[in-house]
Amino acid sequence: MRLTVVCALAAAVIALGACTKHESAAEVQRDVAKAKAEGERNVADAQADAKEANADADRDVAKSIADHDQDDVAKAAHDANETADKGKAKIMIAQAEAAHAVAVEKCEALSGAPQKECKDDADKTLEQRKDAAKAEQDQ
Amino acid sequence: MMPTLTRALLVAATLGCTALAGCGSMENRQSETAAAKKSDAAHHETAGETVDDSVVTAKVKAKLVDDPVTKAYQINVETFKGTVQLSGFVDSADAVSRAERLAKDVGGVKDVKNSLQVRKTEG
Repeated sequence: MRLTVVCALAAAVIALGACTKHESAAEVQRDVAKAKAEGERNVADAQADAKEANADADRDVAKSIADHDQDDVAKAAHDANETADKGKAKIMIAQAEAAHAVAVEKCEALSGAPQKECKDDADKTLEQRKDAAKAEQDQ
Repeated sequence: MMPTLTRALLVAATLGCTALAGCGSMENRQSETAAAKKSDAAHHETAGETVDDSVVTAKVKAKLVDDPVTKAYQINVETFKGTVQLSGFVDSADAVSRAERLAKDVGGVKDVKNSLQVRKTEG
């Protein structure tokens, strides 16, 4: 019985130790830099994709105008606006995710409850920014 | 009687003067045309810009038609070098600012000149 209690306590101490473990300042700095660089790459990719999609959509509008098809112009213009809104939303999400990854890595400098709180805040901010991006797309 | 050489020189000089005068007026006309073209280019768009502007106009119109507030109005949209001009009449100041915000949000719009006016209802 006593042995079981001791083992359980030991396991709890080990588990708690793992939970509250924080990274060294150098590790945090390295991981933050890595997350920042990856985030910047993803945002740049989203921007490039949006630019290309917008150019394609604008070409469709120009073609409809050249064809003097008014209904087609209206539809192509509507589609171009939708493409632009989608692109903006994707860029906003990429920016939010990039900022989230950096924030989470910074949380690693903390330990225990403050670390958990820090990560929860980062998650909450990410969700808020994703909602804003969705609203941008739906408007 | 004038010597033949003098007469020939006089004729040549007259012809030369006439030709120079002609050249002068041609040069003037050419420089006037060039100046006119330059001034024209300053006030008009190139073919490429016209295409872009017509695309911008179409997209702004589509945006205004898709919006529940602005779709109710006949809003004129014109674009010149990315600057969009909105004109016409709407029923509220809110509609004026909403139309401007929607236009500004369209890709390719550099500026918006808002000439929309609020139509005052009688009574």
